[in-house]
Amino acid sequence: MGKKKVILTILGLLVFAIVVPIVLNLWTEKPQTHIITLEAKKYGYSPSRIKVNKGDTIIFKPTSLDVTHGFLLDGYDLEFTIKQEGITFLKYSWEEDDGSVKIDWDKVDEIELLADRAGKFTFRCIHICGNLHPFMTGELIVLPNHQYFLAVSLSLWVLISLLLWFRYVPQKTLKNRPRIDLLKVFPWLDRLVKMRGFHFFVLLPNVIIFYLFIISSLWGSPVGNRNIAIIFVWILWWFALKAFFVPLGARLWCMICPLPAPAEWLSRRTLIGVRFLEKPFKRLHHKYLGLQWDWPKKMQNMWLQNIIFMIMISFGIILITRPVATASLFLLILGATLILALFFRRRVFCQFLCPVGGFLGNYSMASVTEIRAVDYEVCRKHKEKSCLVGSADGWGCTWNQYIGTMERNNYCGFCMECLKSCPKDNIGIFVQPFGSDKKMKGYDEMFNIIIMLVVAIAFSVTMLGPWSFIKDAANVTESGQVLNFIVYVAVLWTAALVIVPWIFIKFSGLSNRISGDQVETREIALQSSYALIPVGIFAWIAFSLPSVLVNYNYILSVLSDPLGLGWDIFGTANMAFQPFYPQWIPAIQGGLLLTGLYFGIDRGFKALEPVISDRVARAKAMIPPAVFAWVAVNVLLKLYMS
Amino acid sequence: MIKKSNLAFIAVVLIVFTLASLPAWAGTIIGSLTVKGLRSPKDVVVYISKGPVYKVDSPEARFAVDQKNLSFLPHVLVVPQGSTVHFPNNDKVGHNVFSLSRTQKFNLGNYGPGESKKIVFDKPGLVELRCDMHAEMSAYILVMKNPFFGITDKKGNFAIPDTGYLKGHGVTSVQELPAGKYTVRTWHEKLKSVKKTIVVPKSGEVVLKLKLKRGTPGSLYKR
Repeated sequence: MGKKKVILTILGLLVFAIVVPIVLNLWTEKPQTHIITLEAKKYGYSPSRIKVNKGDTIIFKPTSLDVTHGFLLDGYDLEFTIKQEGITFLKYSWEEDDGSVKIDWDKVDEIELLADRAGKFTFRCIHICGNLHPFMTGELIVLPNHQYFLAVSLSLWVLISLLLWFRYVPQKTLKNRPRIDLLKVFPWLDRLVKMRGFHFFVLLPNVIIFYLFIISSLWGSPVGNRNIAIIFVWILWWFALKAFFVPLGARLWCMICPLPAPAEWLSRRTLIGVRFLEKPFKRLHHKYLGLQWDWPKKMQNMWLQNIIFMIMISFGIILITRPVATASLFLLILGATLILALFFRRRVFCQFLCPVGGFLGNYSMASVTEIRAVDYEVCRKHKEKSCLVGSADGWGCTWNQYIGTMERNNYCGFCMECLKSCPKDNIGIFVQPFGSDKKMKGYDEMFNIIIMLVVAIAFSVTMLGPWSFIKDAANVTESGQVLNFIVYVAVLWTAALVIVPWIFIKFSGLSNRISGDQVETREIALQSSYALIPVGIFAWIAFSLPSVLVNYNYILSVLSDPLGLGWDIFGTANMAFQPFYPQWIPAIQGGLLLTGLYFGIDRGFKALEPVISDRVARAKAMIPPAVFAWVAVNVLLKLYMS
Repeated sequence: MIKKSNLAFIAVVLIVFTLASLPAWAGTIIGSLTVKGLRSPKDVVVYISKGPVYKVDSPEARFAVDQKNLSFLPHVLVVPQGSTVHFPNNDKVGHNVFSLSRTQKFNLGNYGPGESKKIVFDKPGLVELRCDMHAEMSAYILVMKNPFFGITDKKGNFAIPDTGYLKGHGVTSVQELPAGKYTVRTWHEKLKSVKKTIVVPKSGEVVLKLKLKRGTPGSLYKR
């Protein structure tokens, strides 16, 4: 098939992908009236999912089985407060002559809603009812759910079109791409990052904020969404990490992460300067505090990070809703880094133990920024390797990376020391296309990528889904459902460490078979797992986005009262809960997941290039991992949009 | 035998008396209102504030304010002067209905589920109901001087007299509104009362459009 024919086929498929859901959605049902006895209970509604046809009328008869709850329906102007014995107050608002908007509540027995907008709409509790209040949601699905059908149809189109494209159209390689060195484009940036105090001064504000967060976690409001640490760390930071730091700046966060900073200062016995030794000690031109061991070679992988991450997310819902749990985690990490600094040199915690560092490394491979040598030949000829062992101007790489052979972002902490220590001025900060570093080095990395995808799905079910029994199982310290918690954790661990990796390896075996058994299945599994990095990044953005859009008022609210002392610094402490265009969330999530699917399949195909050089064989090999990515994306599409 | 002339006279007299015994030529008020500051224009009472005083004499009439789920139902009850209102307790707990309103003060005392008490409302005006045991419970009874009132539907439409409402409460004999000049007023607990003077024709309808805003209502009748 020629390129023109392929393009025409792809365009034809696009028309088909758009038209089919539209035609299917023309089917309409006769309007009906549904009487729904809506029971609200910590932390869910019964029924948790309400499915009606467009044009149907719903009559809600709400009641609370425990404390006062709320009901705010995205996309519809419907909000009410639910108390015990069916006492319900319906909110309404109006505009006065002077333009001001006033609100009032009517005591009602039932509430009528005409479902005149199709799609999926979340209803959520509006009164802080307990630890898991932010996750108390239910779903109204008004059929035909055209957005969802369109997203599924487009996901199929992305899958088929890309596979056709790979099969029939020769691909441009990303090798020898033009490189843009930001330090050359912006000379002020070059001067800035090479300043000795640069790292300290960008880190310092974060360290101060971090200690305030610990104080706030321990002595501030015990209510999660009234505590600045919970809001800023688990809502704002988590979203920013996935949506901005990693895709745009790789491990830029590691540069300003406050957790290992005290240990690093202690280990170096200086805040800004360089302690330079003329005569190297254990290959480095620096002497650190303590025993200065190197991390054992056998443990120089991600397995420990994977296990620690799994332990952390097993208690995820508790961690992100209890300030004291968040403070404990911070203090635990702080203590661990300080103790490790007495035994090991360099950033061993960040590199081999940090639960966040694992996926940060893998996901940074897709980042559009990289720190690399300008001319690798200069590095080869430079015998001192100052970037690795240090010089009078900069510390040797605290991540034990040699820039002269570094080809991935995984373990570059963006500390900028190599830029200072390099006497040849041969290191730059480059802009690269999204998803450029493609070398996968071991199963530890593949497992990390799969774990991240499974956890994104698991958290979407637990936190964003309407199923209160899963929330109760995960919320063991409050619900006391120990057995259910064990089942919850067992399912999570089995899925992340056994079932999904096993399926992926089986898919890779199939890839190998249909592409002619040219290489080891391991190679295909590792390289094709790269496809799940863009899928994972976009899945996590799609997962985190609702938290920000729905809870943005809490961000402004805790800013005015950071320690929960009743302050109102900016006049926003008592802002009413008002999600920001929540009705857009499913469509945005759909768009993000489709983007992730496109980049995943495309970059996955390119990542296979080093192991399968023949394009046609590679295109065939890409079918199973592409289908795997498509299934993962569709599981999330189903959760978010249907 | 009755003479033909006498027969004609009797016929004329009968016709005159029959006509005289009919109510005066009467019209109907229909209308609609829009409100600002209310979820729906439903349940606004529109009534003749200055007009004839009629006591409703309908033995079948049945007005009630129920007590259920710690609420009075309905929240606003409109009754013609002289009506008997029943207060059944259909809740799971006991209640104590009382009124401190100038129109009619009373206290029904504490009574349990399944029991009912009643009161005759003789004096026109507003009666605010409360429960001694549940501070959040409140309701209003509007005792009207005559049956010439209407209660708005979901869309804000009303008719005076509201025969549907009255017949629904067992008031079968509803007089018609005689032709004449009247003042129409509105009452709703969250809306500022408005009044308008209208002329009801001898026959046909008079159409009334009202605009209401959020505020405190005035008293039902000037004392």
